[in-house]
Amino acid sequence: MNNLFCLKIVYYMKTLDKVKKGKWCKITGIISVEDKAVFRLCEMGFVDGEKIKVQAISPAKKVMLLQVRGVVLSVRVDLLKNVQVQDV
Amino acid sequence: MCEVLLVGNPNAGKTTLFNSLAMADEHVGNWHGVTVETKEKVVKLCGKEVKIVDTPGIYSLNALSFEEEVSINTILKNKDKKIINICDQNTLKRSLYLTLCLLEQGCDVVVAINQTTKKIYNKVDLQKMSQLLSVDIVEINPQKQQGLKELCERLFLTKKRANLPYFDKKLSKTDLNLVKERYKFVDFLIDSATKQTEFVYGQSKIDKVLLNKYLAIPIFFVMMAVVFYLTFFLIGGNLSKLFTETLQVVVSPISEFLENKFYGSWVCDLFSVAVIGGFATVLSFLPQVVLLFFFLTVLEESGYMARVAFVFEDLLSKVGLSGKSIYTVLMGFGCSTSAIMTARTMDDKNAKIKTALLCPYMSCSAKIPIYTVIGSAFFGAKNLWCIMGLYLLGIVVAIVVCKIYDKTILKSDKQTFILEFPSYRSLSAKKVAKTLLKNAKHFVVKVGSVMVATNVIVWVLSSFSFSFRYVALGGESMLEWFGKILSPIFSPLGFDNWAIASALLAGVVAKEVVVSSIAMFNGIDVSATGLISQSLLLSSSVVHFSGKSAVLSFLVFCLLYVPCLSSIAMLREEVGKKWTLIAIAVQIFVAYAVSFVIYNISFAVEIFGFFAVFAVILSFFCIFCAIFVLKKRLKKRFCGKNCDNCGKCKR
Repeated sequence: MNNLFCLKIVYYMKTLDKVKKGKWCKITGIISVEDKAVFRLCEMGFVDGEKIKVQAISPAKKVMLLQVRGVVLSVRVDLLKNVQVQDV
Repeated sequence: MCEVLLVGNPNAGKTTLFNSLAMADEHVGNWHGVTVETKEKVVKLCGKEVKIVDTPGIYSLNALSFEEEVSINTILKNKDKKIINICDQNTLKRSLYLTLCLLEQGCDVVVAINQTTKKIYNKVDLQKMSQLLSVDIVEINPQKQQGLKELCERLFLTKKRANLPYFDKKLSKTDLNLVKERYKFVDFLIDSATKQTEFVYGQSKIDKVLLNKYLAIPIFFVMMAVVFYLTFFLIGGNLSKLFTETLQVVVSPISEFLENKFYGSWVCDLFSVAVIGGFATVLSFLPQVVLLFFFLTVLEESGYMARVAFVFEDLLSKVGLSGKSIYTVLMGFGCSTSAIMTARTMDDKNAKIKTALLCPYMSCSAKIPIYTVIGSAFFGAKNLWCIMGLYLLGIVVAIVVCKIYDKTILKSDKQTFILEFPSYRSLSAKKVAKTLLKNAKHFVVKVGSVMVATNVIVWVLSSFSFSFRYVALGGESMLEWFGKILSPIFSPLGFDNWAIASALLAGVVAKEVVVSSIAMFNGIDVSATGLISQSLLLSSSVVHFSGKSAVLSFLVFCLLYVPCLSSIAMLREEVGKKWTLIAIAVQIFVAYAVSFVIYNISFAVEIFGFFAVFAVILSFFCIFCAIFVLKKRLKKRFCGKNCDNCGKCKR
């Protein structure tokens, strides 16, 4: 039952790839850092509490342009599925 | 001897500092991953001999790509050495993270805060930050030679014990909690010792247009079309004419002198045709080559390259590459040899090999003389379209070949694409002049050494028989014999001529040799592009093309066939012997196949007209599409009565 409840929470958590262009959000957690690339994201400033702005999305919506820690980064959407956020 | 490592985030200004300290001339650019290997130079700093090592940019001590691995290994092997950690003043919130990683390893670090922009957005209280971290911190501007003396002085001070209150040695370097703690400490440092503004590094209003969903790709192609138009016609063409006339004035008296002195002798032919003629012919393209490098430098220095990578990521990810590969592609327009090295920025081994293998398909600057001389002879003013078509064809063929590699022998995982946007930067005239001078020098040296040597060999082979009797260009020469054996192979491509086959063979050494060989075979002894073009149209020409379709086929073959010797050597170094041999074999096959198709289509257009051929191709395309759709539907239909979306039909 507990597991089911947790799964439900994870399911309803918003991830960074779902944030719309021009919106700000705040990182609430990282789902998994097993992937080296996700860990790299953390090392580039994607840590809990960090505010992020989605600046642009590529024509085929596979890459996002994000403003984080005073710099602009372009990151593939697949990776951003591992970053949980909440709207600001 | 003391050793100093230059370490920092990508695009922080490490190579600029290296150039300033070591009086070097290494390539720099406003883009992530320009430096892909370590570079060393011994210099005297503050009266002491120091070995300075420039390393590729890193974000942390966990590698994600090959060039990062090189850098991290160098740092970890040289922990006891001095490190200058270069931090961009505009990105301190992120770049201090690497400083902490280095200090945790016990490295002897001096932090150099680099002012990369004219306006200072983030003011740093150096003394306070130095106290908080217990590390020497210096503000520098390598371009203006500011702060370098102070930096050198600090280098030779005794090592301080860094103050890292958050650091727990028990935590592994891949622990997420450690990352959070580091950033907390970075925030503390920033809040206590800097005055931050709202400035966002890499953000610009122009990007609203340049990265627009609908406009981004058309803008890029229009920009490239303008670059080619200016390079080959409006500016480059006229400059080349002017340069040729000047060359003629210089070369003609030498040629006349040789003729008077050694009339009728093979010595006269050797010098006037092979050495002076060949050298001057290719040298006349110097303005166009330099102009192309100028535009590539503008693209690279301005910061637009990262935006192009963002725009093309979607397309390139479909062939198992990353948007970062676009840098390799664009550099390939300049010189394939140096472009191959940039493939190191890829994360995955297979992606690195694929990126390296696609470089030789690009129209490098060495192919400019071929397109200009042969294209202008047969296509006249329409040659601009022909050249643009060749550039585009190179890209399309490279993408198709990459896709085939990706589906067969070089399957790669999805590339991680994390790329920092640099700020747009205005160009420094001094920097541009330096880059152009360097490229011009490289071109002249290459033409003067490799080309002249190859020309002499080609001339000897084409002027002497096997019994070493002088036969003066043609008639039973060794090269004619070789060429006649080879030429039937090119018969299906429309150019079964021994001279063309020989020129292609010589072109393996360097692509420019194709044109100088053609000039030599046609007996052009003084530099004049126009003369070579005119000589190709004469019925008495040794180098004979049967028609426009044969010319087109020849140009396509030149674009796609084996890379030059220096590219082959670089490929061997980067991807190994096996993949180099595969690349050569695949390129010959692709060049032959594409040339064959182009020749037959253009031949059909010459006979039946454009619309008839277009209609036939369109109908074949429609039939192919119909079969494809039908096959998919049938597969779905016979899969089961009720579709459960298992996805089998899509495979």
